[in-house]
Amino acid sequence: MHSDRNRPQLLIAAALWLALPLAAPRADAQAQPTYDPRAAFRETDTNHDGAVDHAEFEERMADVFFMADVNKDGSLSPSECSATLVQTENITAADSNHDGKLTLHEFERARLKEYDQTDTNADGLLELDEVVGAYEKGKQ
Amino acid sequence: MRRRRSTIAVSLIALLSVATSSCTQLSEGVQNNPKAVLGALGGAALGGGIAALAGGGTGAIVGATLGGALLGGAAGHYLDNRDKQLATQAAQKAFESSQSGQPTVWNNPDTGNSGSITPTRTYQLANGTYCRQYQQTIVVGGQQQQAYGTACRQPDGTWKIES
Repeated sequence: MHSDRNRPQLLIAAALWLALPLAAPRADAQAQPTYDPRAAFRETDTNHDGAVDHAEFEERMADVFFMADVNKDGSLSPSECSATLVQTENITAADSNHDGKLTLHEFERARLKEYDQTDTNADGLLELDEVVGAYEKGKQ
Repeated sequence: MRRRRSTIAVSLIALLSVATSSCTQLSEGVQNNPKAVLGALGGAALGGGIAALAGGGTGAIVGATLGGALLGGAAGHYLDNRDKQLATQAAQKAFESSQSGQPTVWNNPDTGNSGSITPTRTYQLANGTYCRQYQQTIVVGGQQQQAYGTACRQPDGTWKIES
């Protein structure tokens, strides 16, 4: 169920679920959504300079965190994580103060590690080809 | 190792990803509204610190939202109660459940007035309170006015305009 082969698709579906209004999970939540990494890139590149920098990325992650925090208590519980997009196996690693939930700071710090690994040319920015390329590679 | 890197990359992109929402455009062609004297809107901003956006009496709340914190006190004179109610509902929905960049639109066909509110940035205060910067647009009599501000979530789930 949680094999590596299945995980990319699960993550993408979960991420798209986040974009829905914060209401009870929909009956069709299992339906495969349309996913467009280019659209995601455009939305994240708020200054439209063709690259996502750390500041834009962190702002995006704050938004993602907010949307995932269903009860709006300021942190992500394991159930909120598992219901949304955070890889459950990474919660423990990201939970630096070991309180069983993720703060925004912990969440962003974990995501920034992924940012660096996606930045394949190591210029400190995420370009569209890096984002799309990583997405395509992940689907394989 | 290679597999792990791919998984991480997809995870990151998944986090970046959002559904491409249909960004409803503000209705155009709001014309010849006898209430429209938009020039009065510009210099009448009253500042924030006013009531939450939901709960309590609608009239007072929307008056605080639009009249005091978003577009200036004169706006209230050119929006009827239904306009204000629709604007307030849109604001609460936008702050509570819309991702940044996604406009929530209201439109009153009876008056021809319309508007939208778009969260532009989400952040937390040191105590974990969520705050959202936003852009507000209102169209009265075919003329558009914009305002910017910050709203913070209160413990009871309402949102308070801070600036």
